[in-house]
Amino acid sequence: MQDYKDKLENLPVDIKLRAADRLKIHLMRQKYGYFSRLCLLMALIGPGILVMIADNDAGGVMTYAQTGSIFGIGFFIPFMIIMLPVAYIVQEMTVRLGAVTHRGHAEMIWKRYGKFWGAFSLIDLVVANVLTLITEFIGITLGMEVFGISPIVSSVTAIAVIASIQLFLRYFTWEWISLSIAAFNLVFVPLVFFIPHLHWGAVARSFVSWHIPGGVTSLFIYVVLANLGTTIAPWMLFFQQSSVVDKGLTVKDIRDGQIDTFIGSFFMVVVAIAIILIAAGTVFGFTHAPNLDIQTILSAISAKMGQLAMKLFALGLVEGGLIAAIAISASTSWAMGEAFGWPKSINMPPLQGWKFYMPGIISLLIAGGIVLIPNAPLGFLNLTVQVVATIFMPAAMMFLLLLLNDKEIMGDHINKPWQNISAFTIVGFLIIMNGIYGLTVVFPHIFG
Amino acid sequence: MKIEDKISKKINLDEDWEDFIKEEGLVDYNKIPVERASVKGWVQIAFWFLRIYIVVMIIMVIIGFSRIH
Repeated sequence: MQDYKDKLENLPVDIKLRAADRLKIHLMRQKYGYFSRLCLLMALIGPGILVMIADNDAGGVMTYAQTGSIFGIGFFIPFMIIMLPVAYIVQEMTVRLGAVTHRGHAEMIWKRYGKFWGAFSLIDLVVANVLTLITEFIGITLGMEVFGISPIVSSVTAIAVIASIQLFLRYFTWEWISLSIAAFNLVFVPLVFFIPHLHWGAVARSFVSWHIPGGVTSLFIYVVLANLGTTIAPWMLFFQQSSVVDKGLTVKDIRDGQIDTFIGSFFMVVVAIAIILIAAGTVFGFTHAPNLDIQTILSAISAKMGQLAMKLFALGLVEGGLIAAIAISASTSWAMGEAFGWPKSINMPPLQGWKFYMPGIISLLIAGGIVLIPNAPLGFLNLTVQVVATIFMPAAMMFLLLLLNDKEIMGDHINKPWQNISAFTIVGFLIIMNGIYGLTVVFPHIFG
Repeated sequence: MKIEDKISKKINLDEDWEDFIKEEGLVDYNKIPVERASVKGWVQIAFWFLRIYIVVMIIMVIIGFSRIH
């Protein structure tokens, strides 16, 4: 016993704290019965639900709302159902990779494929994360304005809240507070029942018809790509794998990690469908402007569904921005720590882990500051986010697939043939859609 | 209270502790090196595909952004 205590004494503080959490898991696993099994699952879930709910971020809420406003429910409700297995297949791979290797995605790319690809992935991730954070702060400040709170107050408060929970809480508490914030994402679901004249029959028929109002145009391809880009994003791969590692999941926990990811995917799709239905029920058919801003959508919701519904929608927008900012800033910190071999855990006390916390906090300050600059080119920045993420996603997916097929590191947990076929189909579809969208940029009238 | 004292309060048997250590490893993975993967065969093809894809996408982005301004 003393040997083990000595061994523990020599370990870094973050590993000691993780050991305390993992010991609870170990003891839970010794117990039998459904209730004990449920307790174990509750203790192990987190990274999957967090990543998926954070995926319904401010930009995601905007994308789904615009999708419903422009195309109604004809094509995109069944499309979002397909996004459930897509999101699950992609993110489940990060659970296995993290649990088997105990290392984050940035570290694995850097160490297995060299500094060039490591630096390429890291720079892309950090740039995309900072730009995405700007869109989150746009969502937070716009949503809070509905409640009469000025952008400067909401931006500073958001930075203070996110930085505080990262700096001063250990992983376990950070995760539960983040999950509690994430729960507010479900605020969109009850709003569906306040949509005037919503015909559930029409929703059911959309699964048969897959009708695309206006046919396949460059706008349609853009919206498909935007929805795909919202469902699977590079930061999600990095975030979930690092989160699995920081939580200390091992191969024994893979099944629970998979359940966690499925639950997260399910809620992500439910919320996305709710937002599309709300926008389709309130805005679709009344305007054809493809670049609807959030104020227009909020006004339409207020006019058709009432002030309370509009305020709840705005609250959802704020929550989406906040939870994504928590996740994205953490993913930046983890990725930098993994790439440069710094201590990398939310369990680290602030002074000992300042190097780890600094990149995430700096990215928050940059994003929170930019949204306050008068006349900042926010539309251009939003476009750049999509471009960087779109280019980077197939690259990030390729590294994920290479690692998941690497017998040397994955052993028995290597990808099964059906997982490879599914993942390659997703990457192939992403590349083809990127290519088609690229063509529409170069030849704008190719689809009329 | 030290962290190891907190941990030892939770367990009663040495067996639990030993099993736990065996399962978890409690290793500082920062100190364990990861070997470079050998890039050959279809992996090499994948990397060339990635290089070409990145170049093509960058060209398209430059064209796209130049049309915005």
